Amino acid sequence: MSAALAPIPLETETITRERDALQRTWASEPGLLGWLREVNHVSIGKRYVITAFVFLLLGGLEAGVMRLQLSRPENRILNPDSYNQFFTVHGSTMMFLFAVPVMLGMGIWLVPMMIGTRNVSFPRLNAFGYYTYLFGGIVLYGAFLFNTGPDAGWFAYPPLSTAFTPGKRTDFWAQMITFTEIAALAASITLIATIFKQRAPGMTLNRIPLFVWSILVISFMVLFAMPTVAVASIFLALDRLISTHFFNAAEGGDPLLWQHMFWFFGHPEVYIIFIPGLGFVSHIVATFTRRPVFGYPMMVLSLVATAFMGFALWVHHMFATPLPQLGQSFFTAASTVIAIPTGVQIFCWIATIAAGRPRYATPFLFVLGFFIVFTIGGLTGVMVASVPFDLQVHDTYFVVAHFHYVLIGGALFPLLGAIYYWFPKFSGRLMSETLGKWHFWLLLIGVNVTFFPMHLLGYMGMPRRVYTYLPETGWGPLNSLASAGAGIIVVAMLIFAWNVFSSWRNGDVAGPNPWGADTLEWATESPPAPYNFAHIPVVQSPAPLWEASGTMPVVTGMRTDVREVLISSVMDAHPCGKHEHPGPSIWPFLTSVCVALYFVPVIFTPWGAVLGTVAVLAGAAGWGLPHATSSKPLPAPGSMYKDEPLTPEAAR
Amino acid sequence: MTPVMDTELVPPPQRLVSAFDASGIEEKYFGTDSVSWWGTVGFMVIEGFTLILCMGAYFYLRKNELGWPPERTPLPDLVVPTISLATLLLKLVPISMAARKARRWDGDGVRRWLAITLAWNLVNLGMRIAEFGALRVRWDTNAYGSIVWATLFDHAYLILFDLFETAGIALVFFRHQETHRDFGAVDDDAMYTWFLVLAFIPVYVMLYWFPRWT
Ligand code: HEM
Repeated sequence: MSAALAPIPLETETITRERDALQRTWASEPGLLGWLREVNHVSIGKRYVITAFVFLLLGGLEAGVMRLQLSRPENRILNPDSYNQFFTVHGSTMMFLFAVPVMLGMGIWLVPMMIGTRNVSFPRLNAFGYYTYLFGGIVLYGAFLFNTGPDAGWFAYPPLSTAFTPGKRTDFWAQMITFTEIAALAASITLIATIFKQRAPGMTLNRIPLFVWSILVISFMVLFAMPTVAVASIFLALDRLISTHFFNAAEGGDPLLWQHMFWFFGHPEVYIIFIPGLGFVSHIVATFTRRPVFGYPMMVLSLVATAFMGFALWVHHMFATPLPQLGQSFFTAASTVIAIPTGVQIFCWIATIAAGRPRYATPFLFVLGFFIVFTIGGLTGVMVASVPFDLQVHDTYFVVAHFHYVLIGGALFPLLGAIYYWFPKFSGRLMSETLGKWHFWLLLIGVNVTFFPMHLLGYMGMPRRVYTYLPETGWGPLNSLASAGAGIIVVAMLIFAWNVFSSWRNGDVAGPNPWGADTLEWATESPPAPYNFAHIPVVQSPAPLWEASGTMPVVTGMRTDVREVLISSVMDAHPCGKHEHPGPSIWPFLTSVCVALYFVPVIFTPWGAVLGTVAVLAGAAGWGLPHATSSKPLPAPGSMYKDEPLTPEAAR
Repeated sequence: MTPVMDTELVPPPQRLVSAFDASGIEEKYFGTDSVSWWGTVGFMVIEGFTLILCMGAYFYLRKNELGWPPERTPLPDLVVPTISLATLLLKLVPISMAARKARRWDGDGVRRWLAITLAWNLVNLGMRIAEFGALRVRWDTNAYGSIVWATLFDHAYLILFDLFETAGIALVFFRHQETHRDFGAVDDDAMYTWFLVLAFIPVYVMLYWFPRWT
């Protein structure tokens, strides 16, 4: 493609002129209306991440109150009913409103920059996804505020969640699920198309940055996992609202059907949460050891293998149900095998670190924290994969300890490392290293002090989801210790919040590439211009910014007066087309409102479905036919795309 | 506070050189080089998978009963659903013709066949509504009733959305000046219709024949 063409240096004047034109074309609109019409991936991605952190804060506050309640025997801060709501809302918030959206949000924000394009493939669908997610969160917390927070646990097992929870609590939970799953699906479709079709020329499959691979992998997982929980939660809602019998054993239904469906989603969900974490780790390791991650093909294959295996494990959450013996053995084996691809990756990173000269900046520290915390969680994971052991600790605090180690180690630590790492790109400023180190060490200590004792509490027989316990049980001291640990976590996170706030206002100015990193997002300005790249880069190696020798090969001949992106082939990213993106629009927001008009009224009456269908169709109409209402007729085919020859038929 | 970066590691300022001239490249409206094709395929995967889930749930619930349909529940009717399936299959003709015309940029041809598709869509919708009666069970009778209703409803939503999509495209073609992209939309719509019709065949077999075999 480019090899034959002698590179032509670009005049500074041309560059400035094109930049100005691009700025006009891609700029965000001012005001509230402009905010609601926004379709730029940088803005939408930022919103996802910030919103998700707000939910992390809320979920964290709930956790803090629970730890306060459990800090000594027979405490009376929460009563049994409110404790049920607290752990359910905490778990649901962390899983559905924090962990998954934050990872997809990071993907939406970073992927187009990493692969060298201007925006995601479906900018409006992307915006729609954000609002739908936001409404899902608002619905859950709106209900919680009015003492209607769900209280049947984050996995809402029937019959507890059907026959034994009258009122509307579980219905709000089920609808929150549907909202967030629609949002995740919208984000995934957008990301898959973007990664497949909008990579910069030359970014062949084996030059895709590892984070982009991780997002591609989880987007595919979302396509299969999210419909499962959405269908299950709709069944659940129907059982509750119009007396269907999917999970009602008395009429031929089956509560275990729920468990199968929920965990067919729920287990992959864990991987959806931590695979992007692995992506973050790879980038941070590469940058701070200043060498490409060892064993790239193995890394990619491990990611893909993890995704496939992630769908073959769900039954290990159900070892305590009557399952055939053979099934138990199979799922035990599968659960153990999945440690292999993760192990492969850990060894690749260790090899990379061992061969490089690591710089112990904050992002790198969080990677080390990830190694420690996640590995402990992985080890207890291998333990509970064995059925006899699991039957002993099932539903005890051992499990609570295990999954917090996995989730905090696998998702939170890499994510925080990623925030420190990409914050300069996000805001144009560096975060404070001193505060970052305090944050890291306090968090590492706090997490271990909080959750390690829970293993022991589990051995001592303390069940999960109890609002209090008697002094005679002897669980008091370890619980106090765990609660003290939670206090340390709170301090650590306050330092983090302060660091973000103060650095955003007056941190050191970062410049485009403060860490000397290798991937394309660092070739943009910090923060990036709304069009990301004035010229789409041409990629000639897996580490484009490290191989560059004073010149940067780019694409020319793209239009600057419309939102045009380059389309390339799936495998070897050969340019094969262009695509003109739609501009800002209010319809994604309005359609999302229409979706809310569907899901919220059906909680109260089946007629909501009729109203909702009409509303959603109206929203879709407004979205799909903007030019049907515009008075100015569009040009005839052919004339709209000036440089395109008319086919004889079209000219006819 | 000093940034931890190693200043000598930062690559020197880069001079931009043109390595690829994209001005000769055109937008593609059909197939895998158009992003809307990928969007359509994405939705097909999701919707196809929800149908598979309904079918999985159907067979899972089957094991809880001795007979199928369960005792005191009649077999579903066969005539109406079969007609419904036939009308669905017939819909493939006009929409495929419309797509063929679209690939030749033949606006009038597209208009003609889209009108027929649209009218036929209403027949499909009518047949589907009749089909719910042909199940001969209510959703709240037992778990069997619940799952057959859910599966059929899931597919009915696909018909509804397809009708709506076709109507939208037709509106553009009849009332406004169509663009290249609208021709691509006809093609994607045809692909979606094929999916929706073919997906119904296993559903049909499961809902109406499987109970007769067990
Ligand atoms: C940061 C400090 C955190 C603390 C102190 C904390 C504390 C707790 C506590 C006390 C419970 C209730 C245990 C019980 O009564 O059974 C709980 C449950 C749970 N937590 Fe956390 N948590 C934290 C972070 C997280 C994170 C980051 C996630 C996920 C990304 C998470 C996911 C969950 C889930 C899924 C449950 C189960 C809820 C249920 O039983 O339905 N937690 N956590």
